[in-house]
Amino acid sequence: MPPQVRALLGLLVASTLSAQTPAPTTPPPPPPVRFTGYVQVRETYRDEVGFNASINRARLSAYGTVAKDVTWRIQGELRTGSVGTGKASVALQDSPPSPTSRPPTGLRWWIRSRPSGTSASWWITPSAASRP
Amino acid sequence: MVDYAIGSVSTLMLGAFNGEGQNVTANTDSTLLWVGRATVRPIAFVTLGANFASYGSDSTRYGVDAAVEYMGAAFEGEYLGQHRDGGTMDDNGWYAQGTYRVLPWVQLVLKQEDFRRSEISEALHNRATTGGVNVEFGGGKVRLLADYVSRKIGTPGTRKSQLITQAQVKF
Repeated sequence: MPPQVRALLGLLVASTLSAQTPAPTTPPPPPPVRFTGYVQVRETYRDEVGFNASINRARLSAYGTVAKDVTWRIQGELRTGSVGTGKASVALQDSPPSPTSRPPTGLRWWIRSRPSGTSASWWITPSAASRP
Repeated sequence: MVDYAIGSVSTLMLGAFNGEGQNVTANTDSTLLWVGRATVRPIAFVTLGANFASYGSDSTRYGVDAAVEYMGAAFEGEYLGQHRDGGTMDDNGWYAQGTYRVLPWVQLVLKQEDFRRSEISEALHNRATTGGVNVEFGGGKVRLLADYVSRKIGTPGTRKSQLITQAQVKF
């Protein structure tokens, strides 16, 4: 094979391989605000009361990053004041505020810093710190 | 409220609240509820904690707790009490709870609790036994639970039963 043809074939193969290799990509940055939370739906049967259905607890959190070691979070929580006190019914207590109702329970916020494994945070109401 | 974590070994928390309940901004009696809690992990699977809550010159609440988690089994318990200024006998109570994962996605639960306010009335003596099972799907994002609770209130009191089923979805 003439040297010119061999060089041309080599260039073609190299070009093909280069086209098949995906170019390195940079992972997209996380969105500035992310959301998390959970919903608990409960059905209860009690002696002398009967069945009761409720949304026992619902929690929605928004969080993000301010700087490398500083994050923020704001959280709202809806929960029943009591469970099983009525006949079969569905209720979402402390639902979104109206002129005659309270705002969602457990609203809290904090900023967290993690230099060298330590952290500090604060929030404004004693919201339950239960593990879902 | 402020909390401070010392690595993964210990945490300290201190808070001041108006004591009127969640989302109540008014403080009608101008008295603050001070809350503190400290935890320490002497070894990786054991956590010990102590807490207090002081509500002005009215009352002080206190408690100690312990939790052990090892090889799919977990045990936790707490003793708590409340002392009222001028009172002679504190409210007190305790609970103990054990859980065990028989499968990675199936967890059995057993709990015993006992609370009493003897200075007010033995009719408030409240004790209960709970047995249940938790089932998890989707890497824990979906959890179904069923609990049977047998509760006795008062002395001698009457015993009533309760069945709780719950579905939880995390996102």
